[in-house]
Amino acid sequence: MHMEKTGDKNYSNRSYRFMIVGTVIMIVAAVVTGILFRVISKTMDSIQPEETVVYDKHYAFIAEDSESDLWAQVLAASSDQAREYGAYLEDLGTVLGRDYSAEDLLRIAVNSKVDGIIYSGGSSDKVAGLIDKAVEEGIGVVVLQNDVEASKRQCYVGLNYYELGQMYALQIKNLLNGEDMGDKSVDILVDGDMSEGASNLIVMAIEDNLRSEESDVMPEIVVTRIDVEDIFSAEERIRNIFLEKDNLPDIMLCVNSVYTRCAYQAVVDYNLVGQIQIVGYFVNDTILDAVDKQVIYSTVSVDTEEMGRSCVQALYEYNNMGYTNSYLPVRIEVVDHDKASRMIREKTDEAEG
Amino acid sequence: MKGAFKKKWNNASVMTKMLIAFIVPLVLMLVVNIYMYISINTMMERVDEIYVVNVSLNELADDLTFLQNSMKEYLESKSTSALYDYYKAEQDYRNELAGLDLSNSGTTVYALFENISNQSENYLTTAGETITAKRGRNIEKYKSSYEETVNMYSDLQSCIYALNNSQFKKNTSDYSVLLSSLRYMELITILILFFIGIVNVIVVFLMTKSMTMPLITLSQAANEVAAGNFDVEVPVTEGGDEISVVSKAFEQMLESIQRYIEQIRSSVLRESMLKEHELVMENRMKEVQLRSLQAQINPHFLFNTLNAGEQLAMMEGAEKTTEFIENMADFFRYNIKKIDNDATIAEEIALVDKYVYILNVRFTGEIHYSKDVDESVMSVRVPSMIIQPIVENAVNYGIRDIDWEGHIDLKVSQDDGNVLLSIRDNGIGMRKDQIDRILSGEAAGEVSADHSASNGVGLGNVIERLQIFTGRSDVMDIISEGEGCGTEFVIKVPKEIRPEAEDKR
Repeated sequence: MHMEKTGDKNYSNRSYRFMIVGTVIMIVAAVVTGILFRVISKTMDSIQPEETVVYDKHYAFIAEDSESDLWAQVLAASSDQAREYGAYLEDLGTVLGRDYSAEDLLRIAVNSKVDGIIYSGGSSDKVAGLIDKAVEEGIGVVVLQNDVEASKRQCYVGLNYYELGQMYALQIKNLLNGEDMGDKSVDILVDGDMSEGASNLIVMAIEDNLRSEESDVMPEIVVTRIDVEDIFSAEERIRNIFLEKDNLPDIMLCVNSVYTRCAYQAVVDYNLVGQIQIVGYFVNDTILDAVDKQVIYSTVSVDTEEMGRSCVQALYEYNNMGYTNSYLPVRIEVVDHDKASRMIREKTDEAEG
Repeated sequence: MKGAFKKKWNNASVMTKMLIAFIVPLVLMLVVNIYMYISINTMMERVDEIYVVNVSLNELADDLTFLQNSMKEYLESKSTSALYDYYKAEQDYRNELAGLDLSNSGTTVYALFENISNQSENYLTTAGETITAKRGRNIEKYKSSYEETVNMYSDLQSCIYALNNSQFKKNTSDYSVLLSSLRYMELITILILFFIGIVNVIVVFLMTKSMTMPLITLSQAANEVAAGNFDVEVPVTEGGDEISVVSKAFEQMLESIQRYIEQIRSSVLRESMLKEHELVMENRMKEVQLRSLQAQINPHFLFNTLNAGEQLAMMEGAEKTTEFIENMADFFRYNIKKIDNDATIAEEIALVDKYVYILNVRFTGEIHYSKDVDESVMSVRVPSMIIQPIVENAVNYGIRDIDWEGHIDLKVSQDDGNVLLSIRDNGIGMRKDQIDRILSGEAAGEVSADHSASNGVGLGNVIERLQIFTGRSDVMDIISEGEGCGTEFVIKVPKEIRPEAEDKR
C-alpha cells in the first residue's frame, strides 16, 4: 500500500502564476490604454488656442482684387516688414470675406481706428474724403500703385510712369527695329481709375523716347481705359479690340498683369501670334512662360518686395516721426526672352536641387 | 522580493487568495475606468466650450440689431419706451462686448475683434449724437447721423459676421477633431473593457480552478479511501493555505492508518503463533504429566516407604542399602518435583549420577560411567529431565545387550554461546535412518511405547521440549558411526535464553 503524490502539480504555484500573468496582462493593457489616450489627446493639440502675437501697431491692407498675384506678393512683403517692426498687418478684404469695394474697406478701416492704412484702389472723391478723415484722426495712409492725388495721404508708393513709358518706348524701338513707325499703331491698356496725369506721362515718355533727330514720325498711340468697377470687363474689352480686325494694333502695352494675361490668351485664340506684339506687366509663371515662348515679347517686372516693404516703412516712419516721404518709387525692369529663359532655368534648378 | 511575495502568496489563506484574485482586476478596471472617465469628461468640456464664442457673437449681433431698431423706433416715434429700449440695448451691447475675450484666438481674430470694438465705440458715439439731436429737434443733424449709423451698423454686422464665421469654421474643424478623438476613445474604451473583462474572467476561472482542484482531488482520494483503496493520489500543495493543511493532514492520516493496520496485523500474527506454541507446549507437558502419573503410583507412599526402608537399613547398619535407598528416593523425588519446571545443568547431572548408581546396583556395576564437566556452565538453566532420558536410552538400547564392557561418558562444554551436553555410549550404535526418525520426531511413539522400563520420558519428548524452550529447531545432534560403534547425543542449549524463548516457555 502506498500513496502517490502529484508532484508535478503544485496548485499553489499555479494560482500564483495565473495571478501574476493575468495581472501583468491587465496592467499592460491599462498602460497601453493610457498611452493611446495620451496619443489621442496629443492630436487635440492642433486645436489649442492660436498664439496671439502682441503688436504695437495695427495696419490695414486694402487692395481691390484686380491683380491678386501682384497684391499677394506685395502683402507678403508688407507683412514681413510689419512683423519686423512689431506691427500687425491685417488684410481687411480677406478677413471680412465678402466682396467689399476698396472704398467700403477704407471706411471700415477708418471706423476701426487702425494705426495705418495701405490702400490701393480707386481715386474718387469719396475715397479722398475717407483718406482725409483718416488723416485727421491720426491714421497714416499710404497709397499704392494708383495715387489719390486729391487726398491728404502721407505717402504714395508706386511706379514712376515716365520711367515706365521710357521702358515701353525702348521695347517699341526694338520691336519695330527701324521699320516705318508711321504705319504702326500702339495700344496702351490702362486701368480706368488711373489718373489722366499718369497715363499722359506714359504716352509722353514713349513719344519723347521714340522721337529722334532724324525723324519725327510717331506710331499711332491709343490709350484704352479698362473699367475696373465692372467685373470681368477687362477680358471682354480686350476681346473687343481683337474682334475689330480692321483696326488691330501692332503693339499692345499692358499696364496690368490681368490685361497681360487676357491679351496673351486672345493672341493665341485668334491666331495672331507674331502679328500683334505684346509688352506685358508683372512676372508670374504664366507670363514668364509666354515670354519664353515669345508669344509675349517682353514684360515689365515690378519689385513687389520693395513695394511691400516701402509702404510699411512709410507708415512706421509716419507713426514714429509724424512725417514721411510723400513718394517712394518702385524699381522696374524689363524681362525679355533671354532673361525669361534664364529665370525659368533657375527656377527649375532650384526646384530640383 | 519576488520570492518573498510568492512565499506570502503560497502561505496566504484561500479567502485572501480569492479576495486578491477578485480585487486586483477590479481595482485595475476601476483605475482604467476613472482614467477614461476623466479623459472623456475633459474632452466633453472642451466640446462644450467650442461654440461658446459663436453663441456670444450671435448675441452681440442680436443686441446690435435691437439697438439699431430701438434707435430707429425712437427717431420715428420719440416714445419713452423706445428710448428706454435704446438705453437698455446699449448697455446690453456694451456688456456683451466687454464679456468677449478673444485675446487667445490668434492675431487675425484679435485684430478683427479690435476693429469691432473700435467700430462699436464710433457707432455708439454716433448713435448717442443722433439721439441727442433728435431730442434737441435738430432734424438735419439726426438725419445725417442716422445715415452714418446705418453704414456703421452694416459694417459692424459684417465684421461680427466675419468674426463669427471665421470662429465657426475654426470651431467646426476643432469639433470634428474632438468628435473623431471621442469616437476613438469610445472604441478604445469598449475594446479595453472587453479585453480586461475577458482576461479577468480567464484569470479568475484559472485561479479558482487551480485552488479548487486540490479539493476535488482530495475528495476523490477520500472516496477511494472510504472504498478501502489506500493507493490514492494525494494532491501536493506547498503553500500554507487551508487546502494545503487539509491535504497534509489527509496524507498523514493515510500514513497513520496504514501504520496501525500493519501493527495490528503483525500483532495478530504474533499472538496466533504464541497461542500455537502454548498449545503445543501444553500438550507436551500434559503428555509428560500423564506419563509421569502412570509411572508414579502414589509417589508419596513410595517415598515414605523408601524413607522407612532407609531408616531400617541404617538401624541395621547396612550402609550400602541406605545409600541405595537414599539415591533411589532422591531420583524419584526429582522426577516428581521437577517435572513441571526447568532445572540447572548441575541438578540434571546430579540426577544422572543417581540414576547411573541405581542402575549399577541393579546391574552390578556393568555400566562404566564417566563425566567431564565445565563448572562455569553448571548454573545454566535447561528443561528438567533432558539428560536422564538420554542416558536411560543409551543404557537400554546402547549397551544393555553388548558383549563388551559398556561405557557412558557425559561431557559438558561450551561453544559460541552454547552449552554442549554430550552423552556418549559405546553400545550397538544407530543406523542413519534411525537417527533421522528420532530427530524428525517420527520415533517418538516407538520410544514412548516402551516406557515400562523407563521413567516414561521419551527422546522425542526431550527434543520437542528443548525446541520449545530454546525457540530453535537445532537442539540435538545424534552421531553414530554405525552398528557397534556407539552413539553420541549432543544437546545444544544457549547459555542465555532469548526473550521470545522465555515467552514460549
